[in-house]
Amino acid sequence: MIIVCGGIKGGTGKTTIATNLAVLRAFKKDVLLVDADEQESATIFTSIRKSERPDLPQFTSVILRDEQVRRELDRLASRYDDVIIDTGGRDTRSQRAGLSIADMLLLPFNPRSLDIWTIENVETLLKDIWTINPNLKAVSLLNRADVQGADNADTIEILSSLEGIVFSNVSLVNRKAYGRAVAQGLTISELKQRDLKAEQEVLALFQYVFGTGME
Amino acid sequence: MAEKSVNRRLRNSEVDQVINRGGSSPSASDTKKERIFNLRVPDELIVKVDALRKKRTGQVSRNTWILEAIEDKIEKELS
Repeated sequence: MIIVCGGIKGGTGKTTIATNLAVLRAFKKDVLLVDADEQESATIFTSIRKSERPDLPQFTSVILRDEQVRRELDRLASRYDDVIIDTGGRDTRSQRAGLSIADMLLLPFNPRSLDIWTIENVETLLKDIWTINPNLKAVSLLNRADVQGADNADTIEILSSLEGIVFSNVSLVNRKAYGRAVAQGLTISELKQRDLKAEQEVLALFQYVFGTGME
Repeated sequence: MAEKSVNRRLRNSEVDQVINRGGSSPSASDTKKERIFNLRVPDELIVKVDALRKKRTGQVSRNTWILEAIEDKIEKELS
């Protein structure tokens, strides 16, 4: 399965989602994490994990740009069980190249109006991509959600009403644990100081994406 | 066979057109490029670094701590 963590706004938490899914999936499968974001945060995450925690399950990571994403994955994808592509927060050739061969686009949105305003542009991008990859499934989720408050519900209502983009019903709350885990090259459930709510949220996303739990 | 290959070429050009409607990734000169390499550090030094990191407020990664140390050293040598 090829999954793109994308969208056209920066700072929505794409890398956090891509790295958490890559690590969890790597417990049982061969995973390739493609860093198609010029900030290369996923590569830094992988480097920290490999150097500081070589005892933990690892995945393969590569940096690919623009048309390379499609060209190289044409060759590489079949060698792995799953490929996860982390893209930058813009409508780039890298993201489009990934989407041209992907099975699923994961779209994290934060519960703020500025994020929601980008939906129209995401829909335009998707219409273009569906002409060459009609089987691509677009899935939204709420990320960095408020612990409580009306903003979550408002955003979920908008996300649920979109045509062609399925709302996953998964929300990841804005918790310090996510930042702590990423900084150490870990997935949320590998933190010493556990955050059970965050673990449940990530597992719900994992279950949605791969259709299976971690058992 | 030939027809298939023509169709594939047409299909590829259609795919290229859609992909090229996206913006380009900034070149290396446009972004703050980082280099990643393995650093060999004696165990006792890492123990000292970790002890100092723990005394700091909040979470300071080894990477951040070492970057700060490099910057301090550069500043010291340049002054």
